[in-house]
Amino acid sequence: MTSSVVPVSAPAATDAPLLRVIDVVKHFSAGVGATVKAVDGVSFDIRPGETLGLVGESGCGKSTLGRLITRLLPVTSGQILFDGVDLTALRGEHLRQQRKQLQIIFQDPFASLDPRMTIGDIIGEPLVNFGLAGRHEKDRRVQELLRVVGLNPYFNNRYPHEFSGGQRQRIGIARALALRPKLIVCDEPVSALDVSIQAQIVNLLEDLQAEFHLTYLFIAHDLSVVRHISDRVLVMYLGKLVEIAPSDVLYQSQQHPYTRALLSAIPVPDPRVESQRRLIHLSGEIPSPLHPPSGCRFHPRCPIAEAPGICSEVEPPMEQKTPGRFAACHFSDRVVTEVG
Amino acid sequence: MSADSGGMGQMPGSGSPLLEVKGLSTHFFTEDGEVRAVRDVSFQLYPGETLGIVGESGCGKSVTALSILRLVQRPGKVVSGQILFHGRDLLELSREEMRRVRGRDIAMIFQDPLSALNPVLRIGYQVDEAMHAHDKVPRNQVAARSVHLLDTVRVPDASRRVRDYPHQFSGGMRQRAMIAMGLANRPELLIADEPTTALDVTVQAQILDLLREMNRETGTSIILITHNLGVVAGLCSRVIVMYAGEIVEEGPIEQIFENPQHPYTWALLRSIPRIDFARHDRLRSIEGLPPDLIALPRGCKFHPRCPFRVERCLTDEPSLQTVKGGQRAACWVTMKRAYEEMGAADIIDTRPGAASGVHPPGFTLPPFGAADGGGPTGPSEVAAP
Repeated sequence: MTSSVVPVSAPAATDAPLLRVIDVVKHFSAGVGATVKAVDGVSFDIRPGETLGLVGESGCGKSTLGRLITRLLPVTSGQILFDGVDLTALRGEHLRQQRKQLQIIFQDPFASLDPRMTIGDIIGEPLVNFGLAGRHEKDRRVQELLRVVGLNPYFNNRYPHEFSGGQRQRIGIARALALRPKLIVCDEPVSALDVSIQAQIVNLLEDLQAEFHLTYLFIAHDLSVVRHISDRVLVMYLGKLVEIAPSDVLYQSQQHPYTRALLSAIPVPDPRVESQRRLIHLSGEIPSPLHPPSGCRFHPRCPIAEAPGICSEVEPPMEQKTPGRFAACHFSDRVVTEVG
Repeated sequence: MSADSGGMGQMPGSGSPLLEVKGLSTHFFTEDGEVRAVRDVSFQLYPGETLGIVGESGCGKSVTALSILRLVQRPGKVVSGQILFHGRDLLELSREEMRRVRGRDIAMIFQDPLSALNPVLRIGYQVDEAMHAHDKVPRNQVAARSVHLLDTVRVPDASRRVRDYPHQFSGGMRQRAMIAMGLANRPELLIADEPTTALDVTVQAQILDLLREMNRETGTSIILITHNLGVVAGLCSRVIVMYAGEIVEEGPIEQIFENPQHPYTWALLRSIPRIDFARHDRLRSIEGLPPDLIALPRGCKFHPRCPFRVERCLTDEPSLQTVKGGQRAACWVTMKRAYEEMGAADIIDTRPGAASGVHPPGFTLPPFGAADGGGPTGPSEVAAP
């Protein structure tokens, strides 16, 4: 049914990446002399047709990264190559035209739809903006899009408040599909929804991907959902990527202690599993991105860090540890045996 | 997990219940009509027990908790029922008597600690205040106990941080401060309404550990209200599942998770991805939306979304019946029959009536895969260039 049937761990050497993120940095100014290093040197590829998951806790920079990729925010430095074109170098009309290929779905289905516009105008606005449809053509396309996302096509004259959260998220998806994008950034698309509705939206996204050959960057804090929908998962901590792994091996073995701790904290809806589950306690809290720790940013909380030592002095590079698996840790070979 | 998890079967027989809710109904009288948020809810809680109440938004779980503490605000009103705490009906108490119960005998912690804490008062002052309000802790011990409580809930450097204001605490620390306030007067019952929903998963795990430890060490009973089935599985010994204002199923945690008998519980458990499972092809979604609480459907409130409904479900409302030791479900069919007669084990099509073929008169089920809310309609022109 879904494109997930494709072996996800196979190296897609033949496919040129659809998106290449190269050493992207985003700093926000926070008063005199202070900068929040929200995203601090992140590199990865997204292959055509894959779903790449991006997880991390609040403040790790995952949503900022999503906004940088869609150029809703300008980068401080680094390159974002989409189909070989550097988005960070584009301005004006060139950027506008590229945006057709890159759409975003937001978390809050209430805040992201203009309450005074009809559903038809919300979904049709991108078509009008890009001069892709006249009034008649627009109505026809909007009705098709509504049908595609599982809504009644004759709802196009209604307003957002007449819809439930799950239905609004479908409207947001229809709007994102209107320009036939190649890549959709899904920023926490199901976290505001009830569990039974979450499943409907996750299934819809999978069906749409298969039908329209979409590529997703799926950003969420819920690792269970991310792992379900993604082919590969990126784990982010304090503005940096710490691990990249195919989603089907992530739960069995981890190359970074943070990934292992994060997984150990996820409650499983099964009392027998829960009674066996052992939480890996991390000491302290996530440090401020104003003053990230030296060396490895995770070292003050890491159960296996050599600090003072290499972990507090040398920032670990993101390296391939085993085929298809990358981690930024000096001691990744010790993670599974010694953490927890 | 608490030590009583093994002997839960005996629990309800041992001693008298700490809390007994009987026939509770709470309605909201709005301009649009009467919202029947909680209808005829009855359950018991025994000393030391950890009870989970799960369900989705609008199922009545939070209103049930607020009704217990008589915190339902206008236009809401408890329209019928009894709330017996140690056999005494809380609904009969005067306002002053009720004020003495809140925070002393029954404490509550909320989802959002930032809005529950006063931003202009120091954390320590607010914890002190919880004790001064009831004079259960001698006045000269209050300040020391505040530090001790914050220390117990693992606020680092508590003796210094009692002087902090709420904005100086992280989200997890604020929730810990709320728990410290809740525990200040050694309540017999703690009601936690989505206590970890606003928190990151690693912080959530720490808060749940704390609640578990507190239950084990002080014997405080807990009612945990959540939409997260994983959280319930880790903390509770018994669970109540609510849908559209009613209890649809209740029982010991292992039985409910392993052998749910109400189709809603069954569907809910299958609609969530599990981190420990190999990737499955497709989540089994529950089609449709929960009913409008102003205009509830006839019969079983879940029948408009239930794949296993039979004729009777459309007209007659089922009541809770014992299905197995300690487990009760309000369903005419139950999953036992759905497995035996309707092939529930292999079901892919989860649309209403799909497994039983029962539909209201004049209703035609569109072809599978179309407009069911689960997927797009076959080949579409949208993608065509």
